[in-house]
Amino acid sequence: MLAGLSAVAGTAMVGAPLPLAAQQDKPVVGLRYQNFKRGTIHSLDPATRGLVIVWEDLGRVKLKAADLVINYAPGGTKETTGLAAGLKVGQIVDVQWYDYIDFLVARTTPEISAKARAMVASGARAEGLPDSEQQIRLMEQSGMVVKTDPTTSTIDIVNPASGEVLQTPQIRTEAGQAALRTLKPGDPVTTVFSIQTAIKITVVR
Amino acid sequence: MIRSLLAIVAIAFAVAACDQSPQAASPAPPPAPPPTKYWMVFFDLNSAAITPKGADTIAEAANIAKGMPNSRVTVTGYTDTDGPPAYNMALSLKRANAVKDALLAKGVSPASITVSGRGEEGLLVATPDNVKMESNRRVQIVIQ
Repeated sequence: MLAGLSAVAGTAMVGAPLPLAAQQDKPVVGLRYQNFKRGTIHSLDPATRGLVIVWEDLGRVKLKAADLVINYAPGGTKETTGLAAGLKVGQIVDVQWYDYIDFLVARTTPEISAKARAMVASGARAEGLPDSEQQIRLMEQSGMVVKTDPTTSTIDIVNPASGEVLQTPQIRTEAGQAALRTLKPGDPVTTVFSIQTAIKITVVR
Repeated sequence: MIRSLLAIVAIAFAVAACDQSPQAASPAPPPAPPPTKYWMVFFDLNSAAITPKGADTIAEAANIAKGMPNSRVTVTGYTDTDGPPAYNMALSLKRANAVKDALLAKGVSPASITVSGRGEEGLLVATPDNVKMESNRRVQIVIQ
């Protein structure tokens, strides 16, 4: 059952806990959510392996470089020439990356909160990539629904601790969209998304 | 004469062709829109007093506002549907002004803040009249 759920990268829960075996499995980011694009490196944040890329057609996007991006920092192994020089601001690069994907959109219950925490702790793995067991990080956004927007498939959620209202990334899976349709302002909600993640960066020039 | 005209036309075509080079055909991406962030401060029943949790929220918003050059801060108060609408309109404005004062105390420029009260309008959670609902007793701080 989990294989089916994880393969589509979305689990709209209605409160029933998953079987223990299923809870132990790692979410999978499906190949269909993989993107390939060319852009220019706008900035780098080595402390978090973050980078901002300006795409040629879509503006800028913030990504995390998975461990698979071995040329992110100087000294990483590079297949063709030995040691990598490390990425630099201004370089034009071809990027293989995964967009945000919703893994959980559900009314908050103790079981759902526990599941979200477990998912974030385990991280996700990318389908079809060997040695990528913990390469894609997951984040949780929980709180009270302030607004749902069916046109953009997003939810504005007020964080109960900080009072800040944050909009979720776009909910893309069918399961997530089905859950979105059941939510209304005032509902407690828990969501888990994968973070936009680069898995391969090739320097063009 | 005709040769001269043909030469001019040829040069014009050449210049136009240069304008369509690959470099010129890929314009820079549009600048990112100014970021908008917003917060909600919730209130006790029939009160405009800021709770400790609300004070933390305001402090965070104030820090963001001070860090954004030329920021505009919109503070809007709301109430639930408990009580008379006119009273609630005044209460919502009182809440908004309480938040404004707290923002000022945290160093936000008074010129950047706009305050309004909407009373029972714009309920976060739709309810009938005369319903106590904490989610609706709020002030929204929007920073652009």
